[in-house]
Amino acid sequence: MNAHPWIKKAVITAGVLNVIALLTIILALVNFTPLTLILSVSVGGALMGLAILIYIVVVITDLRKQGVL
Amino acid sequence: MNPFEESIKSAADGGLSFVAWIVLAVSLLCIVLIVAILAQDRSKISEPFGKWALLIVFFVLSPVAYLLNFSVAIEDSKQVEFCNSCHVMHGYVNDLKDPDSEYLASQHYQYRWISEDQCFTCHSDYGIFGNMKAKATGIRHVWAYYTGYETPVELYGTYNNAICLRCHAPVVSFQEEGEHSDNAAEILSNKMSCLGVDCHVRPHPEEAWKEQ
Repeated sequence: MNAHPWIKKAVITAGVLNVIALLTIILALVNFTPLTLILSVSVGGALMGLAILIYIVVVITDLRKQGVL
Repeated sequence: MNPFEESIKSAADGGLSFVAWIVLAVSLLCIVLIVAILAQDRSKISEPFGKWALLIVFFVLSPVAYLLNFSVAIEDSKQVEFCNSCHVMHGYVNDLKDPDSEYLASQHYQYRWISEDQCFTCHSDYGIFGNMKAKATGIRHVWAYYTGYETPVELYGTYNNAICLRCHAPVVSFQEEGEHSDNAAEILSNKMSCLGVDCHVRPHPEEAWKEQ
């Protein structure tokens, strides 16, 4: 995974997106309003989905590099 | 608010549910792991521990937190007070709680003919798909609330008699009422509404949406 600098950037991007998504979830838990509900379900869900997709690309790239795929 | 209402409110405000605590714990664990791996020591990204930890965070823990939060949010959004958090609903909820109101919804609320989640109970169709449809519609309503909506607020279609019938149909006195038995086919097929000039009174004041 360390061969490509873009992979580290991709992992960091996925991590940041996932942290933001998780923060929207925590916000909805501690202050449940229609706005925080929408934020956690739609924006949080979209960011988390994007983070997972980015990490899938990273995992596939890593597995290919190691000759597993 | 009288002492009885206060006692009910304080019982309902019992803090986070058990599932909500799990979501909170899992979310915090994910954030701590991500920050520990990415922010403090980025070399961990290429180590087996970092790879496996991130794999579990991205593919297991985070989706679990999201799905559990979704279920908590859906459950909490059934409450009358949640509906009342949108200004356009104030008139409807105020009428529910008005002791002098004779509207149908108010009677159902004040006599606790529906014990809890009164808005949701009367605005969701039968069965699991009815619940899912009501929740999807609810999310659409919240979205519309922030992006703009038309007034007066109206139902998307005619009110489904099946919602009334799920409680009233098994009641013998309802079945034996002449107007009901004479018009059973029309009532069951939704060709005749329960709510109307000749039958039951309006559920809510016509201009309740104006009270914001």
